[in-house]
Amino acid sequence: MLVQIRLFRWFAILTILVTLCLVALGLFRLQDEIDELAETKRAGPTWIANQMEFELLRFTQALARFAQGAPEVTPDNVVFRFDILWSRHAVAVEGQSGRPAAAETDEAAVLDALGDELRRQEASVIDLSPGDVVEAERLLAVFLPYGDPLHDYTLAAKDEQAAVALAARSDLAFYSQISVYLSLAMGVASLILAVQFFVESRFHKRISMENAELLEKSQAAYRAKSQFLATVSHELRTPVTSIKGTLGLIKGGMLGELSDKMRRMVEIAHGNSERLASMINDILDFEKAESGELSYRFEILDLVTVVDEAVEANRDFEAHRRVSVVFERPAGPIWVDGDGFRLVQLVANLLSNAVKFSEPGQEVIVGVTKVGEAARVSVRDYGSGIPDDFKRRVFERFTQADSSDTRKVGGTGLGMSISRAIAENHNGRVHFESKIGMGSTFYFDIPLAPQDAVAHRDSAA
Amino acid sequence: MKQVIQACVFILTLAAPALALAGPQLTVTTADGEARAYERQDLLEIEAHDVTTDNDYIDGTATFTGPRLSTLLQDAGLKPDDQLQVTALNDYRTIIPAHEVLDYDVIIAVLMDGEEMSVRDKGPFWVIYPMSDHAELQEPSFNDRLIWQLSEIQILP
Repeated sequence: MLVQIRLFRWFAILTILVTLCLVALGLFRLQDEIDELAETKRAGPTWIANQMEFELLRFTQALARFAQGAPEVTPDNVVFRFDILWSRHAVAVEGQSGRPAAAETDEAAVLDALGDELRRQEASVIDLSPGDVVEAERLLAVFLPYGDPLHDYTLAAKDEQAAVALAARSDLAFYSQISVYLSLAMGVASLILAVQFFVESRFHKRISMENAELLEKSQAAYRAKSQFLATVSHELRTPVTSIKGTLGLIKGGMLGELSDKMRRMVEIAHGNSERLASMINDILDFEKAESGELSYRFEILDLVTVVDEAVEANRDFEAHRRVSVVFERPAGPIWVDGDGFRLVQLVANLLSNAVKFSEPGQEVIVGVTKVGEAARVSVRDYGSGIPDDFKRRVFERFTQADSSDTRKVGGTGLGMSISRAIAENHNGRVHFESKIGMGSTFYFDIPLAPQDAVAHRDSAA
Repeated sequence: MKQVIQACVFILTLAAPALALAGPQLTVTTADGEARAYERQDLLEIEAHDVTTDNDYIDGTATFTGPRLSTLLQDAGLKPDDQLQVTALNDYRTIIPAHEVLDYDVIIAVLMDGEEMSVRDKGPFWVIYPMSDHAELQEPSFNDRLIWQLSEIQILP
């Protein structure tokens, strides 16, 4: 649909441009034609032929009056008229474009005949002496017969000019018509383009409205889902806590001696109830982090102590997985401004992930260092590493690299998501590097506490 | 008697070159009716300005020589909205607006390529516009101003 619309739009724009060019061209030609018509005024073939005919008449008149003995007509007058006739004949032979008008007609033959005659009689005219009536009458007899053929020639020239003018006028009419059609075409093309723009904008508007609606729906659905999850988890927490407590009591032998078989079963049940409780806590934390309800209590504290606590909290899990955690303790404290409980939660999460994805007998190395203006906790494991295609999704919620039903490690897939939320609340960040088969290192960077804040804490202590 | 005739013939013989020299004349009439006649030599003495141009009536270009119309008429106090009526030997007449004469070097050509022009060849005088120097003068309407066989110029009152 969109491609078609786009093609159509380009087509319409092209049509309008081409039409514009054609109209401009048409108007240009039109102006040419009008100019040409105007030009046929004085220099036209009829004018030229007419002038020649007229000058022949004046020349023969002068001869006739000379022959009659009119005193005001001298031989010089006759020669003058002869010269003018000569010049007019030359102009007619030259024509407007190097050839005489109506050159193809029989009537045009008079041009050559008159030219020959002018040259033949030139000497006689120039030598005409005063009172030579006989010679004047002879010349008159020679030139008078050219009157009629010259007149016929004028008519032929007029016919030709009329034909040219007619052709020019019909051209004019043709171009006018064409320009009208072109203008119409342009109007139609503009209209089509406008309609097309309108339709397209309507189409886009509808799509964006639909998109907005979809987004709203999906956001509502997501909210409802996490709300439901939180409610369910909250409802689950109380019974699970009670189950866990009860199982703890049974396991501790408070409710009587247990047979070995029973003890093993109760231990399994107790372990699982603990896992369940921690998963429920994860879900509740995540929901709080999402809705911004996770509360923080900031104070200046030693990041080394935080890591100690996290390592301690994971002790049971490490033992269970038979993975040893090595804490490469720095020499002195590293002060940061943070919420101790949340920071322990973050580091413990990175640690439990590292343990979770290590094979029994492997080590997990934990370190705390200063990197520039920041403190860095690093947790290195020698597990299978993170597949490249999963790296982008590490921090997405409910995600584990192996999401199949037969996955080896448990968990909600919320841990990294919560960790990142905590890190961001401390102006810090969690990042990692990983190589398949070589293991992964996760880093948690957090700004160092300002010197004066640390000094203040020390003096208070 | 014979002597008288001989004397007359002698005088006529002497006068003949002078008569032959008396060439064609251009009459210039000012708005108040004062007329003056100029011969070729008179005009060239006033000014011999060269204009090299083409026009519709010649092949290629030619150099025309003669006084500028504005120079010729400078004593008459030509104003831009005056009109000049020009008349040819065959009594053809047309009007030249004075502002064209003042704006451009319009000349009364006496010589074409250094030669006098005969009546047979559009002479003796020809109004020439410097068409080759000004694109706007190529308009067809200016062709009408190129009066050949010019015989008279009159500043219309």
